[in-house]
Amino acid sequence: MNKKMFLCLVAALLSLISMNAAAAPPSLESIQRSMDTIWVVTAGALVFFMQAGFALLEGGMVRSKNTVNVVMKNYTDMCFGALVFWMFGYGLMFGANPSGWIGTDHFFLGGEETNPKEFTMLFFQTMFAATAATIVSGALAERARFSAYVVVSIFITTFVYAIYGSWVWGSLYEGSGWLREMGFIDFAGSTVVHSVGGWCALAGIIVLGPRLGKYDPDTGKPRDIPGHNLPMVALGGFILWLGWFGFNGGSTLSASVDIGKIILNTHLSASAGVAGSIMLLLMLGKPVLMTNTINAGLAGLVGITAGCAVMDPMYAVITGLISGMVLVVSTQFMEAMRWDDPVGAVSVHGTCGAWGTLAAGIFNSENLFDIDQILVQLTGIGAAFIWTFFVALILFKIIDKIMGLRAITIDQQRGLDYTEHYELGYPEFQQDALHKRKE
Amino acid sequence: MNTKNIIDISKKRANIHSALKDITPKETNTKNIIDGPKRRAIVYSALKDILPKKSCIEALWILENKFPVAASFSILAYLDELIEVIDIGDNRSTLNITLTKLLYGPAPTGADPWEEMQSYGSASPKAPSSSRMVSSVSVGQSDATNEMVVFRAMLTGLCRGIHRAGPNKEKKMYDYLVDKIASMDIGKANSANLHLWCKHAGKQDIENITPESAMAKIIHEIYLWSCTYLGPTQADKLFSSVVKETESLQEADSFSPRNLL
Repeated sequence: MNKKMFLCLVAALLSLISMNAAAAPPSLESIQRSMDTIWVVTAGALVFFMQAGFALLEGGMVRSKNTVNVVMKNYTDMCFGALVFWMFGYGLMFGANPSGWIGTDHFFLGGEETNPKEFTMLFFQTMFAATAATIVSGALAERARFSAYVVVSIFITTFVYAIYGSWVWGSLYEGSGWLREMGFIDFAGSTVVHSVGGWCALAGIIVLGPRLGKYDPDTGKPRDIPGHNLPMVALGGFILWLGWFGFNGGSTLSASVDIGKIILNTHLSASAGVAGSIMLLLMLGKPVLMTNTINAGLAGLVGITAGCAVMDPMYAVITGLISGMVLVVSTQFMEAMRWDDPVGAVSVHGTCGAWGTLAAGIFNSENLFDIDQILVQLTGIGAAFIWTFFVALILFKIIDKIMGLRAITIDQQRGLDYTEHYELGYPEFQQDALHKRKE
Repeated sequence: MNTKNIIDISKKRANIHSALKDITPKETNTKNIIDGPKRRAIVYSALKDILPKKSCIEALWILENKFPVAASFSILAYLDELIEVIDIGDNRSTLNITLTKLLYGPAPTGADPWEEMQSYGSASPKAPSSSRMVSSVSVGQSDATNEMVVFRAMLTGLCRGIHRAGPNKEKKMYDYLVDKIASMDIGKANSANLHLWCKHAGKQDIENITPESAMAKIIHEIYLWSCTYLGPTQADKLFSSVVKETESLQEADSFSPRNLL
């Protein structure tokens, strides 16, 4: 009986195989489409994983009493960002753009007429939008109110990021962005994602003011406010580095042979960023801090994001080296200006994003050191700063007026974990627990 | 001086010498013993052969109430405190040597006498002399509420920490508080009490402050000052250590110092 059943099963299996063999083989085009989708979705997942990297990096760089608050900001800006980007952001960024300034359709993407490729694109771009918004959270850490931050991040994702993005990457349907028309190069978003996030963060820092006691009132010098968990910062840095392979590699939007060079450039630039930062710090006789080293790796990653597809590896290394040095100089400038950035978001994303975009014009392997291209790059960088910084400044001021952006001093004393979320990051171990757990 | 006296003195010196030889020269009696139960056990084992049990328990309560675990523990100051309250006869030097040896030498630790202390109750020691009240918490004051005792203990701890942070820091803090009184919104009586306390540079206990929210506002102002002038990291450390220190008070069982933060 068992033998008979076994023979039946084998026969059924063989008939299935023969039926499949008889069917028409899939076309190369459909295989390519499937491969593209698999690659872009996988890359999108890697970019999503960068959120975990940001949460760890920023969470570790703040005091233990503010960890939950930072992680919550990372978590929620991603979730709200995803919703509003689907509703409005995608349409504003990639919708039909006859004027070159703003997308006008494809809001609430969906329905039977939607091309499956659009879903893939929306998913991938949603992750980018969330990245731009989440850059701001670290810069405002330890003194910004949670609810006000969430509102700000929604506006950044929906308008500030999407509209600038439409100038560079729009449109997928009709018309084109004005910077794109000029030939502006920003392959994966040194400016579109990182500088936009960085300049928003700068506006927020200026409106919000420094953390309590950050600057010595007698000498004016900044004080160190060490993060509570540096291994967590290091892990966050590694995760971000890994995620960046998806960030830059996925920006091909297809499973092409270019991915290898793009990811190699990405890795080389990050490594060179660390080397550049360490070299400059040693030359200046300054200590080589772990937090600075991790930020230097990120600076190299941000720097190469614009030109990773158009540069030779040699120039990727130069771009990374300079990124690491730009980070050091920018961090010192921020401190001199008394702009308190707990995680160095403005220097890493804003300044190094601008440098990386310029480098993409300078080191473009098809047109090395082309002045016209450099001028176009400078135009794009300037447009990003003017649009993002001033709109974000107004936005922060309005939110501050209406909702109150800065946490009151007693809340800062108690820690935002307790006052904003009634939850402690380390209830058993917290050394700086300055408050009674809410009953 | 007769021969008997000379022999007695020689014997005492020999005892002192033998007791001190176990102590390494680096160890001083200003070290900080941070393990409360261990400290109680050691002190109890030193006292129990010399003093009656009731006096031992009183002495332990003085240890608990007036010498916070987190602060430097001076054996001589502790013995001075005991002499004010308990008749220890001519055992001062013997106790000094024994306590020094047991606390800082390789001594076996007995059982924590906490339960015995509880069963005897808080043997109320006499109020310490006014000269010592300057730097200590007046836990013996019967009219003070638990909240006030905890509040005063926190102020004392904070002032001590700020004093250690640098010269003139404490004075700057009092001046800052005086400047801020008008904007603190703590009521006239509280403002007057705070002003008086600041004017005396904390050398006199602050008079009653009510309600709890007014105490919290004063503590918060000190936090803001600490953040600005000591730095946020040092401020957090100072407040954390003071909270932990104050939590060792008996009164903190019914009113946690965290309520004031």
